[in-house]
Amino acid sequence: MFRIIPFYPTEAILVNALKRSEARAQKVVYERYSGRMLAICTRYVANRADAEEVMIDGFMRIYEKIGQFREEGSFEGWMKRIMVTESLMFLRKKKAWRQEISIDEVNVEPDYEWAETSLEAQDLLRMVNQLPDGYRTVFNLYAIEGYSHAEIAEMLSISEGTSKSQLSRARTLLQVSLKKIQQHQYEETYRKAAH
Amino acid sequence: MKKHTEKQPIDELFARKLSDMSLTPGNDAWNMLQERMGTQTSRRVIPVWSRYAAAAACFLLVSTVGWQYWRSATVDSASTSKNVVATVNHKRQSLTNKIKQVDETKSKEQNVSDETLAYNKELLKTDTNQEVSSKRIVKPTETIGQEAATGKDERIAKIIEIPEPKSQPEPMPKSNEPVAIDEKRVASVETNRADEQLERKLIVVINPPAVSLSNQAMPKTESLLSALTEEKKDGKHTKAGRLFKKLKQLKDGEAFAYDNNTSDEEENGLISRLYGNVKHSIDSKKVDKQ
Repeated sequence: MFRIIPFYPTEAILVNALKRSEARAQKVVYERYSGRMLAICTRYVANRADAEEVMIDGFMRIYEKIGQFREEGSFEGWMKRIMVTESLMFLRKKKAWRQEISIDEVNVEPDYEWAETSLEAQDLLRMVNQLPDGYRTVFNLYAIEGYSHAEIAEMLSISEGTSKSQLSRARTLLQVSLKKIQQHQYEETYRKAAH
Repeated sequence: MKKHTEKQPIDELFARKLSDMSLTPGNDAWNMLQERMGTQTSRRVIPVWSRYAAAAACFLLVSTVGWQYWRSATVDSASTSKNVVATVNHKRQSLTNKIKQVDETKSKEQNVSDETLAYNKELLKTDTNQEVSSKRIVKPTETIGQEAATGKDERIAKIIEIPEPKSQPEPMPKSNEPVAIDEKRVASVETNRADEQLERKLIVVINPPAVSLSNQAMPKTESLLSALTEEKKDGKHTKAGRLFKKLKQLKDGEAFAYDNNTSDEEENGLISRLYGNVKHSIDSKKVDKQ
């Protein structure tokens, strides 16, 4: 990897090489970005094996459509959008975001400072992955990718109201699971202190 | 991406933690990706090879064709030179024959026989078998016979007349012929006699180009003679003369090796003259420097 990267010192050179369909450039792009892209796919698809499949399809799409990439935005942002789109396509096959589960609307506010310091990205990812597909998708799109409800509604072919309700339910579920973990940790530390 | 005012702390927590998250894909993920792009990669790989292959193929083609051409060119040059010799020989022969015709009545027979000999020699040289020659004989004989009968071509008719009255005596070649060629000649004459009438007509048939050539060159016998003498004069000192000499020798049946030797000698003479010139110039320069 360290031997190959110096051939493409800047992103523009790498993109140009990709546009020429250079196999080495494709490999470099994969090695540089596959980790982050896999994380995105996993966030949406929840299943790791499926996420890898989606990521591979995403990279294929990136190599195919590199000609459409304009240098206005960042290359990574463009790649991320492609990965998100791939993930959504995968979920659309399952008609995932039409699923609804009944949850009790409970207002539980977790300790975010604790979460910030004590929780790893892996833990948060696990929590997101436990969400139902529809909630997870909207939450990812809105909270992490930063799309508006209007955009999400258009992307998923749902109403804005559905997007909003699914987002709030996702938040609630995440808050509940956060609270659970927090409580579990408190209990653990309390037990240790008691002994 | 739009910024939202209604972002909640839980959104920010997840966004901060997960937006730059990285996971390590499985080792075979890249291989799978390559497998799926298999057709595309193969399409990309092949052109690179094909370029080299095409270049190599082009080079091979050009070199082979060039070599073949070169070889054929050398062979052609050799063969053309031979042809030149043959034609000149033929012309020469016809000229001499013409002269002999003028000089003597016997020489007509000689002429005919010589021509037949020349033709038969050629036949023997080119290894054409008797069948082919007979075929060749029949066709033009008929046509020309017709022409002669109608009296359209006086020249041909005249020539046809020439051999007919004589019952052909054996034409004696000149002194310094090798025995082998003598035998050949005898054999050829025998074959000629086998079908007498046809042979004679054949002679006429083969003659026309030579005769016409001679006619074109020298329509009258006097001019012919003078031309011959001129040529002989020229031949004393020029290359053409030497060539003529050689050709005559060849006609008389001398071995080809002699020819080669003479040419070698010529070449040597040329080279030695060149060398002498160069040496002379170098010496003069040395003298100047001194």
